[in-house]
Amino acid sequence: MTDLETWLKRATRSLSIDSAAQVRAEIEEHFAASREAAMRDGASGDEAGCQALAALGDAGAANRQYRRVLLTAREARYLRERGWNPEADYRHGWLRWFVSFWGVAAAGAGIWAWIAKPALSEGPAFLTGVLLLSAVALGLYGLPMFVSLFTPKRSRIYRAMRLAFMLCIIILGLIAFKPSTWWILSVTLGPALWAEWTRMSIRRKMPADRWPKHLYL
Amino acid sequence: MNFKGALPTLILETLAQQPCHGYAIAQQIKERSRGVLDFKEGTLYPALHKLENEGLVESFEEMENGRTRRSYRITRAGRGVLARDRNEWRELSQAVNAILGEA
Repeated sequence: MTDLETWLKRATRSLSIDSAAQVRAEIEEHFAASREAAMRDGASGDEAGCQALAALGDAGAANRQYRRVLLTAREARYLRERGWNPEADYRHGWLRWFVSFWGVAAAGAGIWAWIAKPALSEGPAFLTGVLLLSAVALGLYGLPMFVSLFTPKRSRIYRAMRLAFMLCIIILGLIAFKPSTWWILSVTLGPALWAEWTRMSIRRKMPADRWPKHLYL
Repeated sequence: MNFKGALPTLILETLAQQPCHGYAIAQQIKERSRGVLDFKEGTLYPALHKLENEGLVESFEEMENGRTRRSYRITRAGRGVLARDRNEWRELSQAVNAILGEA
């Protein structure tokens, strides 16, 4: 294995197949140009190769920077496995009715519980909170079914609202539950937060005009 | 010299002169700074990809000496960011010069 091959193997570690191929092509091209220039300056083939490789620097450092700007294997797999098109899926009328019905029902019950607080003997605040939060969650997650959010500006506002809601849920959960039961929170909210983090990372690495529809949400 | 944070601005400045490929960008930065701004060339491409993701540069393929090479050019948004960065740098260097000049 050549020194350049070793360098490339380290620099492309954990990157997706496409990203790794892109890195490989650009570095090989760069290495060839750098080596030719060194040979024009009088270096032998081996010396020129060593100089060109030294100029590239540490492969580990390059890998860390590449992983910040190019899709990793995990992110590429996420995109492949979640290739749904919300624009098409949300057209189903029954889904809209389902969300609307339960959203209005939760909001109505929450408002009723709020008004009837003194009449409820146990946990009225908790019940009201859960019902109203459910209504907000249904409204927020159902919004893309009623409003087209597939523009960068609209989707940014929507995602900011959803992130703020998720943070509220976490804070309320930490307040409402005892520390010994926080693991329930991490089990239920952890996967959602992890997915959100992955999606944020992918959005940062792709120009908006190349986003699949589901990344807008 | 460590100029990590300034690399994207230097790339934009180089591409504002003319479109070029990665190796030429690295050489121009080194030559124009008379070798003072020396950096590891493996870190140039991540910076270029970041600029491309942000829509500040765009890449295209061109033939050179019978070889296909990926070259980069600055976009309109990139020129806007470069103008802003130039002003910021001017203000910063004037402020630092004013302090160092007093010493």
